Amino acid sequence: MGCGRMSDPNLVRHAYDRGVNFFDTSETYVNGDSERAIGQAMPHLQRERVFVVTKLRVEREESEQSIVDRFRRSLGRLRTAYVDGLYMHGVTEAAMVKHAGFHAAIRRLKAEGKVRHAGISSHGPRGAAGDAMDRVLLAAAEDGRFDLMLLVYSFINREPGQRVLAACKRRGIGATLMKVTPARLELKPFDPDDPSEEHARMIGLLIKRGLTREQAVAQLKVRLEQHRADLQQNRATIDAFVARYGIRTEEQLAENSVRWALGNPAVSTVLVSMNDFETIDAFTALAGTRLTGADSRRLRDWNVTFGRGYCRHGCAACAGLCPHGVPVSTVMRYAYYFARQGRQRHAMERYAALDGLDGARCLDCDAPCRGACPYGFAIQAQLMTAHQLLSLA
Amino acid sequence: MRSTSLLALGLLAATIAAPAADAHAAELPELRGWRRVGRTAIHDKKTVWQAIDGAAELFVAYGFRSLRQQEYRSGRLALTVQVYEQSTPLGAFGVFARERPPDGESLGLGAASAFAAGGHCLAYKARYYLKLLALRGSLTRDSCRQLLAGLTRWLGGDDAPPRELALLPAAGQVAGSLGYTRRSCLGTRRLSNCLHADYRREGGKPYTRLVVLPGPEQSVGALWGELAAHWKVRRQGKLELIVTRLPYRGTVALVRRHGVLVGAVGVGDVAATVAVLRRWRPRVKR
Repeated sequence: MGCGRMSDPNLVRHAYDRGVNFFDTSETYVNGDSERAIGQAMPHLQRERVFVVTKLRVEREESEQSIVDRFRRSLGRLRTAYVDGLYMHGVTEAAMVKHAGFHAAIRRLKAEGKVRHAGISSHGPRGAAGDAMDRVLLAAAEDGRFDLMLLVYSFINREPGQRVLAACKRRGIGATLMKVTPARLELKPFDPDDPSEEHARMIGLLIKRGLTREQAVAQLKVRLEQHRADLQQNRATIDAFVARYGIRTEEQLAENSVRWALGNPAVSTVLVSMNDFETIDAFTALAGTRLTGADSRRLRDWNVTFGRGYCRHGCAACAGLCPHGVPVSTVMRYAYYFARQGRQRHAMERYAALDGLDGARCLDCDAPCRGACPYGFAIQAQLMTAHQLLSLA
Repeated sequence: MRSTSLLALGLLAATIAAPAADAHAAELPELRGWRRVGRTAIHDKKTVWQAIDGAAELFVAYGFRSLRQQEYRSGRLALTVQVYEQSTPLGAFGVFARERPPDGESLGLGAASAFAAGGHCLAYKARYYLKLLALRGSLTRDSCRQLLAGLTRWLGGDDAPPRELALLPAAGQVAGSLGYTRRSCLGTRRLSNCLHADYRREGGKPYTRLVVLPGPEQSVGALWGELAAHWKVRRQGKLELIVTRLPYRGTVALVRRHGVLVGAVGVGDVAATVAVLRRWRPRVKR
């Protein structure tokens, strides 16, 4: 159970009663309330039958004592004598896997019986700086001191995760997956005479950059047509696919994605954010089920269909290529939060915090990123689509 | 001249040394006995993540507008004062209710305030939420009280809580249980935008009353229709209600009253829940 937005102990109890035995939280989730909710539910759980992990975002120069102090506060909120895993949270650089303070804290806390296993999680780089997820986690596997990993892996975003999963299997590291359901973005039609709010904003941006309204409309029209063409190949396949399988909801896709991921023997478990009883009921019903041949074929087709329209979490193949320094992977992760996780407000606020290093930069850019994605992702088109989705101005 | 003298007397009486009496002023005020360190940092939606990354989501969910943050020192003590401006008083209350420590002691300031044994204190007033955190040393109850008194005075206006809170009756309400949940109220995705509080019951465990507020563009009829599509609609005499069962809480029933839905959960069976609802007449309209 991914507890990133969960703050109700009854949800923990319900998940446990429905068979969930893995709870993933962090000191920062819901300002500590996620840990508190697990703590309040703890008297209703058999402690030895659940695996509870929490995470700390460790600063580069942070001391052992500071990490131990923060962890003790987490433990207090969780109302348990120990956690099954303490993770270094959201690591963006491979060098951090050698963090002396973290490893010293883990040694001490293991000796005290407060922590059973050391873990690490990564989404890859934030912006141009930092390392890809697989580089970080492979370095952690190589380091040899981590027992658990939390990584991005889905039927569309396989390759980096597969490398990490192989390393985990070789070294006996427990692998938990996050972001197992892929995103899908739409491109809205452009009517110059009656532009949508988003398109009007883009026109406004171009005018601010010195263009007349006519020039701005013309430029935006050209760009959007170009981007629509970029996406057209996917569009046609999407329409055919949806018609062929009668896909109506993205829930169908999400459920099959989880079952697909659990079918991999190197995977220990999958995190699914479950923030209400209804979601818990839907996903726990999948436990013990396996994909049928038809489901697998469907997912394979989804991969073909959407593979080019999905920016792989944790990937850094295009990092540094944008002349404006737009953090492509980060922007698309926010779009994922918006489209797949229903965290619209959160995603939009995060996007706004990029402070201009966003998809609006693509409006009048010649796109040296074109063709840079090894998976065929149309970077500029997708960034502009994400900008429509996420911009707050 | 006379008005100038009165103003000077007023300034002397105030806890704050130089009262801005203007909550829109960029800088947080000087506070008597404390020295400001550096300038007030001001964050809007775009930059709040830099200030409180990982914790900002809560504030954003309740309509965050801005954060002003200032460090103060006094002798060996150092503290951070955070003043959050939310879009509505209800939003400020929602954050306060979520962050209020269960054992927090009221300081009788603002619309509500709390002092935590760990040495930090919180308050809200109008659409402002105030948070004082010790950076070095720990804050005493008296110092928290003095600082919050100065800050709430500086904010100006009156101390009235959001008018929506009056929809829930005060009689029998368990202290500290009043809350406002934006999404997935009581753990179900069907309920959002809920005010709720626990109520004492003779010879029984407390139960919960809730008020579900329609969204800004939503009528109570539309809200009712959405719930009726998923839960059971029943009739008890002239009373039409929506009923379901929630894990660990039991039967929840809701009825329409004065442009909102009011409900109760944890009372017992449907008949017992309806008895509570029949007696409940919300005091104010939205």
